[in-house]
Amino acid sequence: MSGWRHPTLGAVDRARPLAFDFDGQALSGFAGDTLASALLAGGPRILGRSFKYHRPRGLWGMGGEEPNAILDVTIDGQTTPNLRATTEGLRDGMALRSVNAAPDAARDRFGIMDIAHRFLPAGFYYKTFMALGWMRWEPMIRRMAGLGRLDGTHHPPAETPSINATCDVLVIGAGPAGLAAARAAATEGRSVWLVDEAVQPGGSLRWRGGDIDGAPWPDFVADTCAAVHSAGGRILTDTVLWGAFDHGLYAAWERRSDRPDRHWRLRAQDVVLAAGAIERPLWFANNDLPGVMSSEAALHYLHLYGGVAGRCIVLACANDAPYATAAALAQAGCQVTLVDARRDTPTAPDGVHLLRGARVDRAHGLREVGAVSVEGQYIDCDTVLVSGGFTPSVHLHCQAGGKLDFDPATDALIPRAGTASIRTAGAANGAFGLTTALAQGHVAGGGSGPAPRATTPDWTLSPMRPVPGTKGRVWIDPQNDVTLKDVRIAAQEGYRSVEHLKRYTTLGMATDQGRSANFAGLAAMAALTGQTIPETGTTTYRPPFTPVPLSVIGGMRRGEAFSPPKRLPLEGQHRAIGAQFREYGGWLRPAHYGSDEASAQQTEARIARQVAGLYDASPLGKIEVLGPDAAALLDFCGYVRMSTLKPGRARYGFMLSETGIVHDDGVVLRLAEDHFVVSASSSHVTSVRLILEEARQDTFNPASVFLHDVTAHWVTMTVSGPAARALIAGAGIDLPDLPHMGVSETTWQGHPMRVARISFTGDASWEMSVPARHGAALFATLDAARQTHGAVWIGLEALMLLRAEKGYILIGKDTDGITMPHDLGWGGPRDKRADEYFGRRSLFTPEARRPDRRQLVGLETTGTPLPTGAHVLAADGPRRSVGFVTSSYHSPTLGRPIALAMIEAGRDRIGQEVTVFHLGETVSARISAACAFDPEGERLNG
Amino acid sequence: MVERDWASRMPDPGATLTGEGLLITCHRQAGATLVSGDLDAALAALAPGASMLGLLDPVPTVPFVLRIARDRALVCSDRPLGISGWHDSFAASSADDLYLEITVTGPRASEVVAACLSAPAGSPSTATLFAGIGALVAGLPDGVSLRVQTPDAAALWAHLARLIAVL
Repeated sequence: MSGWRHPTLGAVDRARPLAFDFDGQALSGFAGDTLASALLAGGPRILGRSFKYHRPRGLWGMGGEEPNAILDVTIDGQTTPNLRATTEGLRDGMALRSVNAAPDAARDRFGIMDIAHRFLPAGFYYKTFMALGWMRWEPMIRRMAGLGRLDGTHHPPAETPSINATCDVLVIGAGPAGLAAARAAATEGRSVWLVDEAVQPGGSLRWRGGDIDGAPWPDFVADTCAAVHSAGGRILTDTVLWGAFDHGLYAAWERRSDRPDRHWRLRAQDVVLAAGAIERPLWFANNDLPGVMSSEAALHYLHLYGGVAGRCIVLACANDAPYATAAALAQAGCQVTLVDARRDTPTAPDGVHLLRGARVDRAHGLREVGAVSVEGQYIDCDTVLVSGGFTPSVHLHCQAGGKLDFDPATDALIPRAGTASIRTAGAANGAFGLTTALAQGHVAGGGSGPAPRATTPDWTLSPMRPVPGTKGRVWIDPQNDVTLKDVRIAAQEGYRSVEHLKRYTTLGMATDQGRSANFAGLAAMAALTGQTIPETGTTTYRPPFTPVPLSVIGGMRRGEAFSPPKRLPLEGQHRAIGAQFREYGGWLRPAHYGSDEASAQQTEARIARQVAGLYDASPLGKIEVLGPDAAALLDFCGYVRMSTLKPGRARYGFMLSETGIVHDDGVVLRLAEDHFVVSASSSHVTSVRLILEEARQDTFNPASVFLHDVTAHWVTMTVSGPAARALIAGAGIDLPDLPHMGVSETTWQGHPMRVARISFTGDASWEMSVPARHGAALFATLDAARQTHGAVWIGLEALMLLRAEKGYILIGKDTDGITMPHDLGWGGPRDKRADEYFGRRSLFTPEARRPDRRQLVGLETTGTPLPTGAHVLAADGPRRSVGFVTSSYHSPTLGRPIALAMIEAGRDRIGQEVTVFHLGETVSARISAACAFDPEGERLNG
Repeated sequence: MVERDWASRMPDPGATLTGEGLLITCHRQAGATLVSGDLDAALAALAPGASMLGLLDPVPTVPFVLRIARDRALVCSDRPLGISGWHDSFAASSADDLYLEITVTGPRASEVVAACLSAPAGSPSTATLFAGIGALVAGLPDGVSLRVQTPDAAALWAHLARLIAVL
């Protein structure tokens, strides 16, 4: 037996039928349905299988608290896993698939697990699978566990913008209390944002109805919306406010059908939480059978969608709220038996059979409910609706730092006023009745004058809790298959805190976060351990309040936009001559010119040595250090003294970390006594600036030295090679007469140009920097001359080869997290400098003095280049790694492979034979000096 | 993400993006000089009488000054000033091409700002994150003026292009 569709009730558009299927079964619903309402009104009862025992499970609730109806939903060929049927709108052509079932929910072969339930209590895997080792069992358990299945082809587009907004009053929840708060605040002239996860404001008024201030509730909603809008506020429906964060930040996910969703980051002067409450189940044997569902949800589906939960219904409760449900169902034509645990009850609604002072002991049925036992009496039914009271939705109050108090009158934990910068009203505050909710909302919204009034009396309730010792299997948390017995086992194991209970049993985890289960869990724990509810405590409430797609949180900054590289001003020019780009150190730079990388690298490197090579060095840092203390700052932050540098000269040096590790290398140019330019390596410009800035502010007089990172102002073109000087002259550029490491500020075509004779290739090189707006002209001029001279543009791959031939290091490639300058052969400053500099003390620790530290050397071999990263094994002694290859290329100039390596005491081993091991293969090599080309440096002088 | 596969491109000065109620335009700075230290002295020397702008403050005609930090600012001028070095109490560096200016104007400009800028107006500094990218942000009568370092302009331009399609 399943639910059915009432012929007239509900607000669905019956003129627009929608076809869908569930586990291959063709079904239909209407526009305006949710998946849950469509399934309730005509679909199967069994919508999924439970997490552990694979018990059949059906629809329970009406919102984010739904523990059972979790579906994989395919639309337009793309599947999204684990969507709650209660919160997804139905669309034509949807394919719904049950989760945790094989082949489907109705025929799940793993249902056999339930037979073995006695052997699978909470925590069984902590103990049972210790035998043979957990790692052996884990893969099997993981394959069986879990809910939906990921669709590897589904890549949700990164199209959810995150939008910042502020308002005077943020009201969370557009039910009676929220509406009253919003109206009160808006009437006072405050800008109000009213947020609700439903598609329309009204909350429970939408299915419970009622008159407010003598008028039908829709008038109250309309008045409130008009007041909000006229005061400059906004109403966001279909929007889940999913998290409260530090400094008053609230995050909300707005779902939109016609355009991409939006992610709001809201800040408000005042926040009112009116998120309502969630109905609790009742705890009798087999209370998880399909057909057992929330009474309030049944009323919701009946009035909003015309979905009727069943025909022969038992409704169990101990409060007044379900009486409206019973009356409505009876009026809809259902046979309703109301089982109220209280003896003092309201009058039975028309057509409803009322049993006072009675409780349901057990639900009967194998695959769905077919009867219940009430005080030993067997009552046939197809549906059991339950109402065990209400749990206020206090999550956001707690996320905002609020505390809770236990309220015996409502048997609920409610917000403690004044413990969070948020006010709570209505059912979220334990006010389970329309009149009180309206009054609380009015006060929370800062209303003056009388609050809106309703004629509906507030509800009374009698607390209902799980009773330890109840016979049969009583489910506390249906989503995680946690039973009352599991809670008892946890108590017997010695757990007392509900936090421990959660970890031991998994109670309250997963998509519903135990919203319908947590109170029962802690109540059962309290009863079993003889503690009070406050003593037992609550679990910690953390965002998100309800599952939010990662694509929403991630927003638009994914893929290419996640960590975009910096771009060269002349990227277009390079592309026009065939550059193939790649990211290097956060910059997108030409890797090579032409399509074949390997041959292009060799050709470019060869011609650069024979004639000249040109490359774009714009990303090299240009951090200007200015002021009377500029030299002192650079001395302090650098390993190599720069105060002794003369204006017009440049010097290579290192910057160390506090631990003495080489952080960056680069050249410092001195333009004037009080004006330097730090040419940090491309990938370290920011970090070098920050190291300098920290020292500037903390160690120096910050009024005496300043830093300007003007890297992006300049375009730098470098020409290197034996024909470089002639090429530049052929381009009509009047080079100043500079020695190696000389710098000059000159002009070109009337524009500023800085020329530096600095080489990263080992050949005579000129770096020419012009303001970026003149870069294209410089590029064109040099390119024309290049063609005349037979020179080439070289990409970074060729440049890497050329510098490796010279033994020039690349920080992060030829160094690692323990490399110190003396490991690189730069021990001079360490030995000679007596003044303090950054990282100095770390260079003299016992570790830094070890004679067997890895040192930079070269490796010579024959045949193919050594694999970068390959381990170097000593030819004699124990077979162990003494280092590794850091850079390796075939040198077209030398006609053999070259390599750089970091090897223990490497400089003392120069000339020794070693074995290079990589992926099971070994080759022989000989340790050499790092510099393999022009060791005397004659080519530097052109 | 393939390391070579970057579809976004640097916007050329004059390039525009349009959407309903939106016009986004890329401009080259006419002239700009980064100054630090004694800002009063710097302004007196480089842009006498120019006003110092904070976040979202309306941009007047040049010259004007965009504050970046307590002791740092960008002097915006109608041409490159060609001044750099240490000047007794302040430091100056040519920064004419350090930034590209992107203006976002139109009735829906405020929506773009809300989607990219979390800092509220009132900060004395124009330096902030705009769509996660460092920028100097000042106001225009019907929008905002952004100065983003040239190498980052492609990322911001691409983001704005995608944003106006989904707002």
